[in-house]
Amino acid sequence: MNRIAASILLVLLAGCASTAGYEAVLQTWLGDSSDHLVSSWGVPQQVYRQSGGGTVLQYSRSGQIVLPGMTTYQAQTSYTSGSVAAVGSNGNMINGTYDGTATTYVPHTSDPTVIATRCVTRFTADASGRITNWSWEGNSCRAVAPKKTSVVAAVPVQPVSYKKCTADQLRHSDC
Amino acid sequence: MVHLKLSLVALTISTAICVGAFAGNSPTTQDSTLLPKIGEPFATEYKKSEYGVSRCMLTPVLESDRMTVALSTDRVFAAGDVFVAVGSDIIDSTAMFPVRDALMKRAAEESIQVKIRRAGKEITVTAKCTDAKVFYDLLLEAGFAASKNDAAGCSDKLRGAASLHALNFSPMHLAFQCGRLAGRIVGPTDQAKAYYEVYEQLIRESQWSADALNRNRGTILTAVDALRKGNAAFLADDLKQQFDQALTAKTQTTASLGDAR
Repeated sequence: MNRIAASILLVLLAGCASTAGYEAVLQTWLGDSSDHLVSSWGVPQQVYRQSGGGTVLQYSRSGQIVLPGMTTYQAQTSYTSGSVAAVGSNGNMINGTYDGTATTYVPHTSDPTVIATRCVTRFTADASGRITNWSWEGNSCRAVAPKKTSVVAAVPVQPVSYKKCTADQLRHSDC
Repeated sequence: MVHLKLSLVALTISTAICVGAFAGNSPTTQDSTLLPKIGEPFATEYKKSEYGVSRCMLTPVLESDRMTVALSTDRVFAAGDVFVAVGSDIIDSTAMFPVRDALMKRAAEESIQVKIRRAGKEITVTAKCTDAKVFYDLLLEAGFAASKNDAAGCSDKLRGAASLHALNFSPMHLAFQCGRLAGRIVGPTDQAKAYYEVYEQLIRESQWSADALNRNRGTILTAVDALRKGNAAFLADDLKQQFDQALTAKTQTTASLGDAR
């Protein structure tokens, strides 16, 4: 039950943040320089130098979310019974019995739930320092997609097949 | 009259450029036709026989009056220099391509004496020619590749051309579009910077007259707006400032010339 509540809470905490939003953030770094990345994200936790001259910059962040235990109230019923004796107005003893129940609600708090969060992001840069790829793993790699839009969005271009001609061929209509 | 003729000559290319600039804002619907729209006028223009002749080309990129140096990658010429004569040929300022006409008579590898007006004084410099044909061949092949939607091929050709001679606004614009569609200019930062440089060049080429600047006002302001929308406010402001400063400088010059008369 606590796990479900925790998941719901995480979603609420995250607001509009999503893994898609995080990927959109990462996507904006493609083609940018690793120097610019470091000036923006800070020094990476790990840097791996590839044999071809490229680098992998790894950013890690981890933490935990502590959800307080849930308090439930448990009913505790007590049963009472007994007998009483009293002297009546005529001087006789009167005996009687009684019984009944009493319910009280006792608060009971469960142990807090600790959720570990982790996000590892890796950027690959080529030998010139240009970021060419990214990847992420973990359960807290979420972000709100950036509003930043490029002046002109990059759209993959389909491979083209046509007869390539030299300038002279084109000028002489030989193509 | 000359300016009217120049405008007509540039009409097809500039129309394609405007289409390209706006198409950038809705790439998914227009990207498949964008490059052919820009590339075809290029291919048509550079197919002309005058571009297929091996002849002298000098390093400066000229402003749109075809006589004033917009920028130069050598130390012989400087921005603002105005061509006066090539050898003994006086530049005919009424011609459509005054400097090119004069250079057509010179061989590709020649060293030539060029008279220029710099800061009001006429001086003669010696300049080394390079072969114009090699450069224009690459522009033609780039335009042809773009007309076939081959962004990578177009981008490669224009890179080759740029290594031979600085590009002016139109090829720069084509290079930008081919570069981004080929995945050579990626990321908002690089795209904004490249886009900015294209329109910075347009200002540079128009700053010889207030009229030329005003003719391009709409295009420049559209670029400023696109940069601002692309979260490149700094570049947008800088571009706008450059335009305003160029216009102010030219308006003041015109006014002072008017006073002198």
